[in-house]
Amino acid sequence: MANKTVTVKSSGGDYTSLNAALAGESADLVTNTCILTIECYAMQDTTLCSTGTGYTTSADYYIKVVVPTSERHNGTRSATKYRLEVSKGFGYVLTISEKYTRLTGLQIKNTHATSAGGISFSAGNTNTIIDSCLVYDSPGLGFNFAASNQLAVNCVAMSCETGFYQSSGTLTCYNCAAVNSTTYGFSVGGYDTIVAKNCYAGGSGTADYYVATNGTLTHTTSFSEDGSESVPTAAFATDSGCYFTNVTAGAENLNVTSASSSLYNTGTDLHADATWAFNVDIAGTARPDGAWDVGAFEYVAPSGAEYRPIFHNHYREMGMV
Amino acid sequence: MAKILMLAFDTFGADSEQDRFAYKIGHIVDVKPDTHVWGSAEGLPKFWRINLPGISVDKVIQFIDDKVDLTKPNEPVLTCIRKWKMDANALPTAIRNTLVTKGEITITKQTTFDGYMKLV
Repeated sequence: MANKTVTVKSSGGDYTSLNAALAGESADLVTNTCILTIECYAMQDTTLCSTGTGYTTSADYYIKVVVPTSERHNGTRSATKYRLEVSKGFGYVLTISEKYTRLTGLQIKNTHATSAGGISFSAGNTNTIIDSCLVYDSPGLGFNFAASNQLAVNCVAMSCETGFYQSSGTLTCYNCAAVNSTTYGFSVGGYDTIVAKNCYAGGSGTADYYVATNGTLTHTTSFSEDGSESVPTAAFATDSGCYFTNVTAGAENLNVTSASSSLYNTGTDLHADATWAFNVDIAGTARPDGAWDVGAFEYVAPSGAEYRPIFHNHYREMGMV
Repeated sequence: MAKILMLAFDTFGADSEQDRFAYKIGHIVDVKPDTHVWGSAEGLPKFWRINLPGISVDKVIQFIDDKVDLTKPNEPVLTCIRKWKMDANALPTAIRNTLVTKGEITITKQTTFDGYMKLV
């Protein structure tokens, strides 16, 4: 069987909620030799969502939930793009219970006072990849990783209880950010590990980074506001340190406004990374080789003030630089 | 008023432990107001549609809830993907036949609908 693509749209699509698509397409993707792609178009999806466990997946055949670029947030909250917004007490808006699932471009909000959080990767469901996703304004966890070998790239948690929580095995975070968390930005459970490269946490109520007893945080070119867990500091501010666009809870915008930012050109270049090679930021802006920024956004200079990134890459490909 | 999308086939987890989190026949997948238009795949053979013209969304949204162990309220544990399911085999024969062949039924009384829903 060939790969399959279905759509989630408010009208005129195959499905009208991501949950219905995940339930309805349940199948043995390995036997069917099928990558299932679920495309989510601009709408407010208010249905509690889970992959369920009715799939068989592998590294080659898996579920891929994608918000097409034109239908996707640009790294900040957008009420006109696809968004999964549910009020769910004692649970998560989206539960991933299938290995190898890939999520790209989602924005998720769980406003319930007793919310457990936004996204949960349930126990045993390894090797998932989450890219360019936002979780915000959730009294619970933003991203809850209860399984090992998970990868988060260009993801942001804003105004959650804890932004990223790893409670089983290893989570790798590349260019992720957690801001205005009421407790922790990044939290590692006992005997668990977070590998953070090019990450930032600031504005946390208790600590930007927290490692439980026997847990491990490996941080490379990452920053915090408070220096917790010995992560270097950069002020969570609009006029110093990070030079973010907006740091107000509920209206965060982590676009960097100045080349004076501590995040500018201080990241590790991951375009040829052995774990996951990529070269764009959360908004699709190219990250130039050898000059990566920390955080989900690559700094884009005001028009005419800076050379990069597109023309640089173009000229490089032509062998001119 | 409400309309419901209900799964019309069983899915299976890899083992009995995983199977608690697999969608089954009779699980509610979505609850929408009656103005909602379902997608092209949201009908037979995969789904049943149940129209509830006399029942508000607020009265039936609970049936989409997952089953959570709240022994420790600060550490909720998901124990089953759904708390409720409709036992299609327990439906009156005529209603069941309509559901299976037409893929859509209408229920006007909440007590009737509630009676078809069973705790998992």
